[in-house]
Amino acid sequence: MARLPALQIQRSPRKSIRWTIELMLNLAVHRINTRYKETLLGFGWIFLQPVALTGIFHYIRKVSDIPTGNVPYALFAAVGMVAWSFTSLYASQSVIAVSGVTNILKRVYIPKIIFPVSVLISAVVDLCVMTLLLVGLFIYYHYPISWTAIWLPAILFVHILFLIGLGCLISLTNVFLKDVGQAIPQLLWLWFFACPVFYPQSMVPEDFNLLSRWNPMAGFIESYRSVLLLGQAPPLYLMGPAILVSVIMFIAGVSLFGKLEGDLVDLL
Amino acid sequence: MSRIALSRVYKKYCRLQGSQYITQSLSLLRNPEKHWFWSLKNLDLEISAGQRIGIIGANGSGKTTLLRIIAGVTNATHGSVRVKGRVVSLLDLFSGMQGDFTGRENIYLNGILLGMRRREIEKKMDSIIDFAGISEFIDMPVKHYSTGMMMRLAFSVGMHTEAEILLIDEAWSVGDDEFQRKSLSRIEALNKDGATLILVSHDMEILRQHTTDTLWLNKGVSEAFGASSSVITSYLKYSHTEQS
Repeated sequence: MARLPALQIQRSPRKSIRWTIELMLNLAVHRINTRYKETLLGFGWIFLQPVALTGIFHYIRKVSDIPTGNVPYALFAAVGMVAWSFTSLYASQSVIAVSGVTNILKRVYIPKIIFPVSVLISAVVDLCVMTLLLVGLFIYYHYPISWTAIWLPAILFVHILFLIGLGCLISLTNVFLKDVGQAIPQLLWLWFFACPVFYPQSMVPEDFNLLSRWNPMAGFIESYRSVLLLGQAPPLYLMGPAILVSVIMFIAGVSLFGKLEGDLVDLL
Repeated sequence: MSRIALSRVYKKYCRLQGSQYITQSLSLLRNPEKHWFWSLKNLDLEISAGQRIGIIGANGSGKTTLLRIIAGVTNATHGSVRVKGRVVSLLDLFSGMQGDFTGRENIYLNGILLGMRRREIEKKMDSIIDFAGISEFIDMPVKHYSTGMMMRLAFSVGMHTEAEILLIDEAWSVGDDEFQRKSLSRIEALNKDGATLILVSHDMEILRQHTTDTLWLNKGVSEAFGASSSVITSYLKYSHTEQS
């Protein structure tokens, strides 16, 4: 066959950024609505899991000895639980962030990065609802919030950076390999026990410490606890690796997504 | 002014599933070419503002691929693609409908997908509902709609966009005569305002009446492109001899 001409594409006008943002928000609202359409409890469902698990941890505490210092255990576990739920809700929903919107992708051109991001927006809404649980516990225990809570946006920012990278990778790979959809719930379950959600990082045995430091969720959870409950700055030995992993994850996820975006439609 | 200029466009598709796609790109299969097929081959096409173009061809001849490349949904494999102007593609109209949502909610979602802003949709809402002619059912979940009603709704949204290039496929033929007539006159009006129209149809009468030029695709190759009446005549002659 003769040499084929190189691909050249010129399109104008470009899609406006404001339109893209509007579409992204709409998809997020739509996603939230879909989930709770025709359910009785509605948003109660987001609330239910962390509440139930915090209750169970309270029970686990009774059978095993988990040191949490002066911090009420329920509060200790709930902070970990909310941070974890944010990650796990997002990770499990991002599986179908791209492969679940085939009908949209095949009709109109949209920069596809907005799909994982719109899933993130709806996960942030879930996070806000779950935060009510924390507020309730803080009030119940008359626990003062220390001024170190101003660290919160910074930690959340790194956390979100990590999640966007993760979500891009998950939603992308699920297009090529549907195994991902099966694997993610299992992996999340394992990851959950590897994270200091219902135990403090200080209880992790020496032998595992080197490895578990590189779990970014350990960094996020322990940092949230430090700034909210202990009145201390985020622990650098955990947050340092978490920042590094998050930045790498973000760059890897977003750049891979950008590279393969064009092929996605043909594979769905 | 040229709206669409395609030059030597090729589009290759892979026959394999996602997971096989990976294995084949990792392990160099003995004969990789057999897993690919060309949906479009060496296509040249130039369409200017305000033209009305029809596309004909048997199923699998590359009509949908061509529309998708123009709409930017998928990228060509080789060749140069230049598209100037807002493209509104009314392809696969039903697939965008969300069953659990009401007609009104679907108008918002579809409108934004077709490139409108929320405020613009709000302004045109009454007109969209009126054009679709289903005002009694607009706050009902669309899963209870009939196919015709759904199509009316989706099409009506498309008719209210400010399209410069309008891509339409078979879908709207689901509507009854009255709705078809209404949408055809609407399309004509958009066309008078300068919109380029690209119509894919198996209804030769509609193509004869509403397009000036027609492209005939045959197995991904442009067989003929010219005045609608003559291209359609030779297409019909060709498909009759194929059959006998």
